[in-house]
Amino acid sequence: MSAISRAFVYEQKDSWLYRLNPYTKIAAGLILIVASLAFFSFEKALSLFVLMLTLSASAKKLRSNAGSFVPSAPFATIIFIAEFLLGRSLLTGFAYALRFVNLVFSSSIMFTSVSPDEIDYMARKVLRSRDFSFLISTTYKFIPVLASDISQIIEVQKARGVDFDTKNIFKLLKNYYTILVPLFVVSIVRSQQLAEALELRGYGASEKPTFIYEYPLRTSDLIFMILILSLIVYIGMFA
Amino acid sequence: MIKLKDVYYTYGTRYAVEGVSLEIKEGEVTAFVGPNGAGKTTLAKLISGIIKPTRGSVYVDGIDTKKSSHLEIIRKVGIIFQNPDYQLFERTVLEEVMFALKNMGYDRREAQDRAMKALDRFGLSKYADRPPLSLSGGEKKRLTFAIVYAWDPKYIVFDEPTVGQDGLNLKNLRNVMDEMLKEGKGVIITSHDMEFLWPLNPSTFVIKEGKVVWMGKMKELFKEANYSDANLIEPQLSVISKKLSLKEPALSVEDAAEVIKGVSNI
Repeated sequence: MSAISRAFVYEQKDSWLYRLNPYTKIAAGLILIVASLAFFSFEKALSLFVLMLTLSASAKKLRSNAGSFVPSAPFATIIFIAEFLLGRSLLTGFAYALRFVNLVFSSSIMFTSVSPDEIDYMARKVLRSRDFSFLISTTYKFIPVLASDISQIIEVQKARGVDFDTKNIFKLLKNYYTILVPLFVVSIVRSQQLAEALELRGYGASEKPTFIYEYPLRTSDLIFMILILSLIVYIGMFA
Repeated sequence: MIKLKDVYYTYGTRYAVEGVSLEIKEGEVTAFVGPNGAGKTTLAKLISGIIKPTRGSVYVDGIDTKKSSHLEIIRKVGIIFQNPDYQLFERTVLEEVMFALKNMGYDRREAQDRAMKALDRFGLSKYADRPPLSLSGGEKKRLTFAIVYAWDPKYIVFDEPTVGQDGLNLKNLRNVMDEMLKEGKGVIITSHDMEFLWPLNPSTFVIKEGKVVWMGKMKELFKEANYSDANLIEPQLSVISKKLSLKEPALSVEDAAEVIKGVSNI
């Protein structure tokens, strides 16, 4: 799996973050995402970045989450240059670029810490529709599969002389077309197989299917939420 | 000749290939055998230049794959992957074969001629105007052979070629390989289908956990051990040769039958 894929795909680690309730993790992730969007000044954006770095490192996820810098760095550079060209100060340029990096980084922290099963659990509890929750969690579960399909199709097409390293952007876009049709075909075949496998294992047989796991709220969840909210409010008011 | 010198390849932090050195000659059959996830396909990709070694070097006819584009290497080493659905996307079967030829700079007329010859070779010319996705599983597999055969590479790598193939297709596949050998091409096969490989008696590399744990001619492989730890099932002709206490194992049913009838003792 590439660094970019690892930055957005759930991977179980033995750390305190993974022992939290899924609601807590989602709520904290959303708070970080909102804060990334809301903090415009350089000081606030930098403080939030340091907070997220600390959070990720203490949860043993820094290596995976750092992969989010790969896709965000070029866009952050473009934002910085655009701000500079628009006549804004260097510090404003840095702040806007860092804001974008924070947004991707916070999404990475959230996506890598909530498992597909936890998403399924929450969606079923909140939405009260098993089909819809299953749709959401399966989509999430299949992201790494899709990423693996894409990388295999790229290799197969490279073996037929397709150049994905070309600097010509139009040629590159045209070359990426060679991935689309095989990806559709493979995905449709897989979804059909999945539907058949579900039916064979009794999906829909019971109106009220049971849960394999329950996720109770603990004191540690409360402490974590108070801590993260306090820190965000502190950065928002005083940084 | 293809040479691998102390080649390493990693996926993230995991070694898929670890310190492999080997040589592959043209005009010969070479097999990479071993359990699933041993690194056979990664080796095939390294040889065809579509991935570059993390450490060490791969040389194809003296060209270092690290220092050249994959476009240069695939002209010499064509690779046929296991799953046809990963590559078919054109409107017609003919265009599907012509796609790679156009990438390699052949003009339209020559590309079309080569594509038709390749389709003919694999019994697919009657489907030239059909959408590739409408073909059966076996036909799609043959189409992937035609795609690579069309640009006439010096070495052809078959990645798990026997998966999903019925008896007739397997027979045809062996005929295709025989003809490629007669044309002097190097045939490289990754597989754990020992029954298919045995009659070819390829130069064999047993791969386990990214390392070469045995190399030699396949008929020697089961003389020394049964290699069940590499998930290899001993071919029936090898088993019966042992039971008949033959000095050399029979490579074909005909050889074994002659011994049983007392005509020959190999």
